[in-house]
Amino acid sequence: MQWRIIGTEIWDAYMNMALDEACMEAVGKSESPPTVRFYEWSPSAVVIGYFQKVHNEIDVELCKQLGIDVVRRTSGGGAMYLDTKGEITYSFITPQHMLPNDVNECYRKVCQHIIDALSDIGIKSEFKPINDITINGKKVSGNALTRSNGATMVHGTLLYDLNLRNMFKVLRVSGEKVSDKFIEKAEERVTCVKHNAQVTKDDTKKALIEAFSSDKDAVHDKWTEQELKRARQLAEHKYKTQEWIYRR
Amino acid sequence: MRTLKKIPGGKLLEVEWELDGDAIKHIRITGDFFAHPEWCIEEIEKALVGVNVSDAQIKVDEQMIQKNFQIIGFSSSDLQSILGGR
Repeated sequence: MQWRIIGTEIWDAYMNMALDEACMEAVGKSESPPTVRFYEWSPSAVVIGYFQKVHNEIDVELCKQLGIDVVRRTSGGGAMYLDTKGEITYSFITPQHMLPNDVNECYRKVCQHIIDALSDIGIKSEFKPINDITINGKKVSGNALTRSNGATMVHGTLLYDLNLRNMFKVLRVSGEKVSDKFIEKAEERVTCVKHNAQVTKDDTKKALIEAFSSDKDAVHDKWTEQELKRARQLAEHKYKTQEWIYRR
Repeated sequence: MRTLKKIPGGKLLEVEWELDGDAIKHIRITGDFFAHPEWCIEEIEKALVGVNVSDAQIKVDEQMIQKNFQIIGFSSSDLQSILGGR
């Protein structure tokens, strides 16, 4: 089976989420091959999990002032701040039958690529169930799985650089003041590639693409016209709408 | 009523609900958990309306088995312990 590798691309939050869904639809209908896409975010964005309430998680007014996009994704899990400079994001999209039925096994299988990529740049990391990858116990990657229309997607983010102050400016933390002490505590739980190896973001992306490609018959390719058209529709009529963003 | 709870070894679960006597009149389940398929949470919320609050866990288990739903990050007993009544 030939795979398609797309990216690294840069889109806004609405198109990033819409491209995931358009690709899942196309892969589920066998109109497109299994795909791994790599992407970044411009402007920076906050993406909340399918079951989260926007106002619990995000300072929406501040996001507006700072020009940060707010979007809901189709998968569960927690809110993430996706910084234009700090993140490398990926989506692994296959027909459902190509991944195990067991969700935990899916996470393990997809996350192994990230662990291999980090190993290639000299960083030892491990899979931490349910859906994280850690370096010395600190989270460096979070992942989420969704299935629909015969396709499975595991998408996730690898923190290349980290600015916890920016992150907690917009993410609400229940009952806690974002003090220096809070940031110190957060630094004990979260890390990034840059704090663990002297590598550029480009080298990290290359390692990631290599890790996802090396065990497959994979070609670098682009979106079909149909996928792009569908993604633009979904961005405008689903992901940008208040109805979708505030649905819970 | 509204309760927010970090499930030990699981995810954050927030439940908002209203009772009519002992029956659930309205319920909304949110948080950073996972559910497959995602729409199952809305199905479960609908199925819980009219159910005696003490029987919420039984109803959720019934829905999950019959419809092959999967929730990762909290269990039906976690939900029942938030709602009380047992």
